[in-house]
Amino acid sequence: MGLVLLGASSSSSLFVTPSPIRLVVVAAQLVVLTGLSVSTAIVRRPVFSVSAFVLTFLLAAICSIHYQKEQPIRQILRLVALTTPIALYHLARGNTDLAISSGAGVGACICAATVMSLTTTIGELVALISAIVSVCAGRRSGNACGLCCGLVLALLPRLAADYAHVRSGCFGRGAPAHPWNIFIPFTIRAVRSALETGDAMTARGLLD
Amino acid sequence: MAKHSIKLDELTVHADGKVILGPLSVELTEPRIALLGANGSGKSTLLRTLCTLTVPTGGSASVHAVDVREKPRQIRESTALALSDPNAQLLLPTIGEDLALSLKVATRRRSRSMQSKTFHDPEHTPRLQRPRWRTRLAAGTRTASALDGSVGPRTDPGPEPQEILDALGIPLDASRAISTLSGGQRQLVALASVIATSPQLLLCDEPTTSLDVGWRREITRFLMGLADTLDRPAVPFGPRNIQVVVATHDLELAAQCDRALVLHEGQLVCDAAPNKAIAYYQQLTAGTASTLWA
Repeated sequence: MGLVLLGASSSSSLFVTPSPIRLVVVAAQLVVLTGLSVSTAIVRRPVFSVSAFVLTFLLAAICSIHYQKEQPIRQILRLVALTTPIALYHLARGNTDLAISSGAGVGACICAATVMSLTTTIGELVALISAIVSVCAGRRSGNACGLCCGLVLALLPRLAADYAHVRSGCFGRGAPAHPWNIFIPFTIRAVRSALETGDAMTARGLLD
Repeated sequence: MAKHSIKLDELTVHADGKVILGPLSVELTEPRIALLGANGSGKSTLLRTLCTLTVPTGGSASVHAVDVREKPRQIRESTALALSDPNAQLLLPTIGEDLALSLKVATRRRSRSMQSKTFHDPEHTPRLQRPRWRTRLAAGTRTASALDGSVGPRTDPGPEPQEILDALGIPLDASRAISTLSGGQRQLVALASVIATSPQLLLCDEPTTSLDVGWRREITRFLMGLADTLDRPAVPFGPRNIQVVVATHDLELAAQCDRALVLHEGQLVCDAAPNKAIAYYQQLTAGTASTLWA
């Protein structure tokens, strides 16, 4: 349930503060996780693939907050404040349930994710998720889920670097800054990065 | 059986209907081995085969008398691969967290080999005998502690990440963020992270690529030192007498190995002492320079 709630916060963080770069990052995250899932399916760890998709939502929320070096309190207030118009919009259309979920629920989730990201290091978060899932689904699944978190968090800075490289390359050749000119090579690089990471993990024995 | 032993017997790897490696037949028992060859000569494929990432299509390859096709998991327990790009290797944001991840793997392997498989590893336990949720919680907490790096397993605390760094002679603080490291420092930490899994065989794929001269020498010194006798009581289980196989274009690094193999279009064309192999490789490269664009 906690994952579901935090998952809601991830999509809401996109919804609440839409920006092209964040859309690109989250879209790339999904692409990377698809690559990871495919690569891990090849090494026959389906639980890893499934948990990768589930945890995308949680991590999108935490990363969107974690990697923004703003003042935390101001950010929380801003995010919460931005949920209000959405709630009002749904309320005006008569969708009370949507208004409640997207307003109060989403705001609370964002706050929870923010507090968690401010008080917990990524390593602790990974260990925590690993321990929680271990109780419910066994140690192996717990390890897989914990690894997923670590991976996605590790991949985000790489994705940002990839994006910067692709963008510089694009400008360096004088190509117009059309989204497709950046998005397609960026996607290819992201999948390649994911496959490399999958190889490194396998060789390191993390998937055994 | 020699302490270090890799045996290839008519090893062949195909991709897209073409032979990209082999047939290779060689036995490698020296502690430091260099693989030389042009791009696409099969060096990386050989390393990937030895650590079971690539499955051979013909012949056989064995590491410490274990066939890579028959028991890949057992092979991975004694083998580690360091990629040329350390960013692909380092998964967590700080050095300590990343090393703790490897230490967790080492702890798991050790407990798997030392303890009875019936209680601690649910995969080997019949469903009716599986531990109840309280036991699982305890196991999960221990896993979490090991992963976090703050506390080791309750039964046998393993080394801390900082101990590993100190034992390997890497003067870095475990709490430091990986994003703040230079390229050479990242490569060293990436190597430490794979060594922390306690491998007996370390495979390095172009570890000095894109590093400056100073860091190349530092990485070379580090890799060559791994094969020496490192008996460090501070590290209960850790790097000792690791066999190192390095695929490289760095001739200074290759010169310090005990043996060097030159691959050309997937074939082993020279197997000799480093100086002879380097001379052969340089001759080969000079000879093929005119055909690079063909």
